[in-house]
Amino acid sequence: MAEFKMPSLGADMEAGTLLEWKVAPGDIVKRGDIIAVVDTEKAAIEVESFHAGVVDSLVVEQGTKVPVGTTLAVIRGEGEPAGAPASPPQAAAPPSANGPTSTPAPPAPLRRPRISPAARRRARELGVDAAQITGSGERNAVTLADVERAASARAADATKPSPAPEHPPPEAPPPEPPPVDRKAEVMRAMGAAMAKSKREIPHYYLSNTIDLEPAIAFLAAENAARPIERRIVPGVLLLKATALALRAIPELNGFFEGGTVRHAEAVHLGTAVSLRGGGIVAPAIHHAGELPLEDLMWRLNDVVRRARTRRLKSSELSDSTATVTSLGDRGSEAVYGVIYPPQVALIGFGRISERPWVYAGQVVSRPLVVASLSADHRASDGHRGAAFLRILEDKLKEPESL
Amino acid sequence: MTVARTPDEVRAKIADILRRTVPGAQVEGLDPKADLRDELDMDSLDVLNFATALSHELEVSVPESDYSELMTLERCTAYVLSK
Amino acid sequence: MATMTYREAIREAHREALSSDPRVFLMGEDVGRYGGVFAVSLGMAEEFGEERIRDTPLSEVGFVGAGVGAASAGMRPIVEVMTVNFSLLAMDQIVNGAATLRHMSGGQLSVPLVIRMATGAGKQVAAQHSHSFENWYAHVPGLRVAAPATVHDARFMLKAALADPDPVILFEHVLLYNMSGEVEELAGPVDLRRAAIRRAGDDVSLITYGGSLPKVLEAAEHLASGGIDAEVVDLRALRPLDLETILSSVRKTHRAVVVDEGWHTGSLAGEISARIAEDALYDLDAPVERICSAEAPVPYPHHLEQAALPKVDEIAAAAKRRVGSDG
Repeated sequence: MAEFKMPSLGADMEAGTLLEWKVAPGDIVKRGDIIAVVDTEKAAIEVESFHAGVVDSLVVEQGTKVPVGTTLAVIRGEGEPAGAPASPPQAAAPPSANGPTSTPAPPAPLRRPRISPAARRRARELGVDAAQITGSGERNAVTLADVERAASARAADATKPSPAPEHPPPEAPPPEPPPVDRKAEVMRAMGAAMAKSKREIPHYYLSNTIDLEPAIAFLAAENAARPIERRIVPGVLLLKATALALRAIPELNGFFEGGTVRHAEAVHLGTAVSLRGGGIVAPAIHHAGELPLEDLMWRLNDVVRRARTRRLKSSELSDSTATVTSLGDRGSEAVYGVIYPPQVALIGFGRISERPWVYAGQVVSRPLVVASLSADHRASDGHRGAAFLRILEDKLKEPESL
Repeated sequence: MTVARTPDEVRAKIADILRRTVPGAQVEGLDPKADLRDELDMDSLDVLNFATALSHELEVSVPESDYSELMTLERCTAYVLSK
Repeated sequence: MATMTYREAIREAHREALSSDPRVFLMGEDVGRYGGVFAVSLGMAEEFGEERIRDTPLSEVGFVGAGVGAASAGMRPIVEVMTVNFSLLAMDQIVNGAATLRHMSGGQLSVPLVIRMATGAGKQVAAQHSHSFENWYAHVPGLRVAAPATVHDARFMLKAALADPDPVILFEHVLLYNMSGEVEELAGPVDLRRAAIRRAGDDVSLITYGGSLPKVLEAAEHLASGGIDAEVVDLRALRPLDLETILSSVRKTHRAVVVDEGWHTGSLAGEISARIAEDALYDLDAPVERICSAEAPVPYPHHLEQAALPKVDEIAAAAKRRVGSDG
């Protein structure tokens, strides 16, 4: 018997409102299935189950606001009798202050879906959820061909021309948020996390000005050959280069919690998205360093769209191992960001702009960007931080390798 | 072959595309000479999505170097009509 | 192009070696006056004389040991051991002797010895003459182990083996001797480091060697008629394995069936499966499958012997299972 609790969807979250149940008692759920929509101060989040089993009972009614850690539902494993008491009965846990890792450790799933290793890897590359695919292989295993089919079906959907205005948008609108002053809530939540960060994290800051001429030229050539819906924005190159550089300097990719540093194995890149009307969320792009540029572009567009329509998943809010903020072409020259706890680094990119630069002994006009690193001095030092920026610069100077 | 269209039709279509690609955009009452990126808080993804929809729905091909031509309502309308 | 049998190809290889290098000689049981138990050396004693085509007493430990000594003294002996089953009597000479001497002498001794052995089942000669122990030797550092599976390889592998400064064991499957095939007459020695793609395909890699190759090629033809495009990899080298060719084939097809006439347990097929799992797991779209012999001494009665060995329909069925088209 497992309890499904109000998750902590960020260092700044103390409580959440259960907006909507996506399951009912008796439903079978797999790990990763969306089982509820929870409203945090920032957004309505689709919360995924950490358990596999059958929904035994729903404990909290829709519309109720409860602290992080409160049991929301009880999920029983396969073969367990229905109605057994959740053991032991617990009071709502105090709000967790340690953010992304406070989600419960996942128990062994009932049965791992049969997905071939090659299909699993390809699905990750393409951003397809292989567990949702019906397999055609031996004993219904999901194969490479099944994943490719699912991805091309999705791509076909995505490249269809937008529907005529009289049709509803392809995705159902998000559940109506409760009548709160969302802007004020977002500012309050962000403020709490940033105050905690500045109070506890000894930041140090480094920056390099990087010549993006090769990257921009590479992208212009790439995009000229691509249909418009498959073009790539420069921010994607910045994300990919950052993910690869983080892989090389693991001290910057992970968490500082309970007095110790924990390096993360994978690079899940939090990507700061400004919400219209104010506020920022930084959903994770999972395994950003392993995605080809085109897939990374697709994932970025997808996650930004869902962040702004408030349809993020809980794993996207809790899995980031480092965060990138990129000011875009209307922003300032440079940004020295505030680390999102318990992460240990934030990478900032200012506006890409044409400025004078010395190249081969001549002052020439080149597209430059200021890349900055804000890092936690408990986890790394300026020496390693500088190495990170150097690797980042090297990657951007060889865009073909991205 | 392009569809015959009047400036009013094109303007209406652009406004419609903006509403869909930039959710929450207040298109009514926009200054036709104002930069859309500033007025609607559009980032590079929004610009690309806007250009993509424009290209598909108004049957104009938009090379990357022309994105800046689309950035006010007035210039965008002229750009489409010139194609 | 010339057409000949596998047996004739090996004989031609010997004649070429004996003619071109006075250090080369052949010895083994009944290789001289009788012409070899598989008639490989028929007529060679008359052609080259008893000094160079030498009959030996029935003592594997003795004549293989003599081969190790002659090789380390500068000769280029070819020792024929009647079957791999009998070679177990000479294992100490091969494993403790030939394979170790370069290492233990700090490079002062080399053993440029070639040992040829017949292997495999299918001729109703019962358990003591029918087993496949190739992997016992493929386990041992210091040896190079290879198996010609085509007439062309039978013709040109010996030359490569003789050119190697270290001991080489060549395995000849008993069912291949009568096989006819084409030989490109002016080809150079076979590259003993390289596996060969005998049939290119995209859907599944059928990995095999020696006497199982004809079965696997036949299975691949059946599969092709059912729309499955199998790639056939002939290992040729059993030690060291050509992992590059094996893995690149699996990375292309995403599926592997390994066919090996040895027993499953501790087999060369097991080693290959492990290498694929270690180095190409994320390229696999289905589990690796092995087709090996039944875990029993090879039976004497024809129907039981055939039942115990890898079969064409069994190989094809495994490939279909892995491709996921067995309905």
